[in-house]
Amino acid sequence: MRKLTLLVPILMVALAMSAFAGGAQEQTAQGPATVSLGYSGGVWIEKYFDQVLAGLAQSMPNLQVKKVVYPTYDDLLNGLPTQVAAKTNPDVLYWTNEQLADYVNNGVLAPLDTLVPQTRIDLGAFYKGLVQGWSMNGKLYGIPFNGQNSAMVVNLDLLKKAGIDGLPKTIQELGQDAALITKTGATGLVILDNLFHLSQYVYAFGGGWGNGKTINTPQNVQALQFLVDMFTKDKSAATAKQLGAAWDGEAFAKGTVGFSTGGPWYIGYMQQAGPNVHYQLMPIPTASGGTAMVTYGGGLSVFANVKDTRSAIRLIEYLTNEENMKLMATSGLKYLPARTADMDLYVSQVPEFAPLKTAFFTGTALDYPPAIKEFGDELIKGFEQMVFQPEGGLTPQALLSTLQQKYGVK
Amino acid sequence: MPADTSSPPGVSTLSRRPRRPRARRRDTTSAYVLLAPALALLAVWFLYPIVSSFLLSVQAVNVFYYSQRTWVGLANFQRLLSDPVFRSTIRITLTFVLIVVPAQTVLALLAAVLVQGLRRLRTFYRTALFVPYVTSTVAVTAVFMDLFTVHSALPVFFSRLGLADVSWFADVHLALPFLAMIYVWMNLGLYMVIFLSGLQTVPAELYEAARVDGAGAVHELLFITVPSLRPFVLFVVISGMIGAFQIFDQAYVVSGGTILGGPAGATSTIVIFIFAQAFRYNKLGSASAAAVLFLVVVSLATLVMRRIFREETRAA
Repeated sequence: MRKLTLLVPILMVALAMSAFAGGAQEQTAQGPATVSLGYSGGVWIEKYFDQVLAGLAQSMPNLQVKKVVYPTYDDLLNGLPTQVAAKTNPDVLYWTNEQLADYVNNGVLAPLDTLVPQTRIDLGAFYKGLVQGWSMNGKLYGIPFNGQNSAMVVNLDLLKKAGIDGLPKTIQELGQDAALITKTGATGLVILDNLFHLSQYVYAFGGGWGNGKTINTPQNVQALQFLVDMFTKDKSAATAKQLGAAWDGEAFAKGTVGFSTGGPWYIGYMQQAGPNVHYQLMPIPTASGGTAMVTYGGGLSVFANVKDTRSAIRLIEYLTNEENMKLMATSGLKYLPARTADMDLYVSQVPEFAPLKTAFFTGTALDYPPAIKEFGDELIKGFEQMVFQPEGGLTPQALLSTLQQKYGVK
Repeated sequence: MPADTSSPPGVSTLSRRPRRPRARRRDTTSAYVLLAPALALLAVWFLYPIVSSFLLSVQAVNVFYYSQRTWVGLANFQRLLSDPVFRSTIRITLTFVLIVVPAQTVLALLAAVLVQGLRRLRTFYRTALFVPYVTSTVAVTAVFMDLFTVHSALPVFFSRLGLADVSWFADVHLALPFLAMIYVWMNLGLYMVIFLSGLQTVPAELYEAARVDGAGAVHELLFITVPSLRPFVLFVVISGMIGAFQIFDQAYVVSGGTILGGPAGATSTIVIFIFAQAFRYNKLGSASAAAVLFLVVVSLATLVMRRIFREETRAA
């Protein structure tokens, strides 16, 4: 009996210990993995992610998300390099692909090619241009999340006032229309002097930067000359700053500008800032009578220093599933989902996008040179010199040749 | 010669260093203890960044791999000095300093003399002129940008004087004068207050004697006020020069939305260049080299100014 009374407590302690030990092991082996998701904040994006991530526990119970919200997109871009250096960056990043080359060349991002086949992500479901935009050197560095594109924004009232029937069919015709609009006392065309906006004219003339391979092609020279002439000869173009605006949309919303290179972001802005301006979005007409549209947008990337890449790609798989992509179009966010199947749903929500619908499917990706910031800044500075200091004698040919030499890739 | 009463009897005062009184030693220790927090903060916030800048200026840095820096000697300096953009920023900054420093010194002195001579509303004018100095640079610049936008009242007014009716900040010839105007307007109040305090030190008898001798207001200003305020002028010129060399905020705001230093690089000052190198292009080595050169230039300019004023004071 004495042995039994001794044995029972020992057995109970042993049982309890094994139970605790077993529980901890299970917790470690099967506990939810935490993945951090970085993005820049905003009212609608916050609401969207809150709504989407609320369903994560049900779909992927073994995955938890820690949000890393940057106050603005500039904060995100400025803070990331030091975070990467300190290895405090988020695991997954929602961003745009404008600086992809810089990050890829520095080996900061993880290629996703081997990870995607482990999930239900179907790259064929996305717009080709968007997938292309997230690829470099034959590898994929981001899963498209939402689409964005360039477009020409036209003030229909000013067109009518200038006696112009219909929208321009070529870029040269657009230049002539801008000159006619200027004669009415308005400004023919406004441009924000930055790389993106200047590049749209390069594409319209059939050129492009070719990721640094084709900076000084005749088409690019022709495009710059076209713009310079609009400023210096026709006096039909102005920068947003010349018109006292911080960006092109602000100038356009005043109703005194005929054309502007913009995109779908004008839709929401014009509702607020220029509700009485009668305008339309259209694909940018090319020199040969076709259309040029650059498609780019938000995507989800994984950093190279992430250890649990499997969980990171699973989070991306969840975020880009059919349900969450549809929600992007129907929620207050009103972003164009990156899946082709959701285009009609998006157009039903944002009818102003309808004229751009067809062109979006054949849109091409941005093709900036790797040293994108230096190249862009020097291009803009040179452009401003040609426009504001024509007596300096700088020509598009000379500028682009210098840039080819400095930032070109063979 | 009085007997030395501080030394113990029989001990020569010449044979060893005199010992400091214990109370004085205690005071010195207390002073160091009390200064320690401030010195520690100075070391962390000023000394460490300066030393870091010097080190980074001779290193190649990839911001993504900050810990893997390599020594490159003077390569950053060589590259910088052969960079036409950097040379252009030096020219632009020097132009800015040469516009701003004389303008703000003369205007602040005149404002101080005028305010000092007021019998009524002196406090009001002193405050009104000082307010821009304590107002947000961004807000002031934004207001000035609004005032000087194409077709606004001021560009239209100036167009009657022969200037074009354009947005000044977007015009390659007017952008720098536009920055200088904002800068002078903002700093005028501070330097006026310094001159006002200097005016309190000028003996009233000098003015009375001059008036007896028939001197007018201009003679009083040129031959009594200005010479008497020489140390204050020196301070205003040197601190004004250092401040003007560091022009950044206004230029940054003016560039908003487009590339820094626009239009066409007309407002690309040295600090704008350093900022762009460090935080836009992530070239920390190049930015640090520029910062070191900048420090040397400002220090040399300050020394030259001190020498000029000292020799003039001696001559006077």
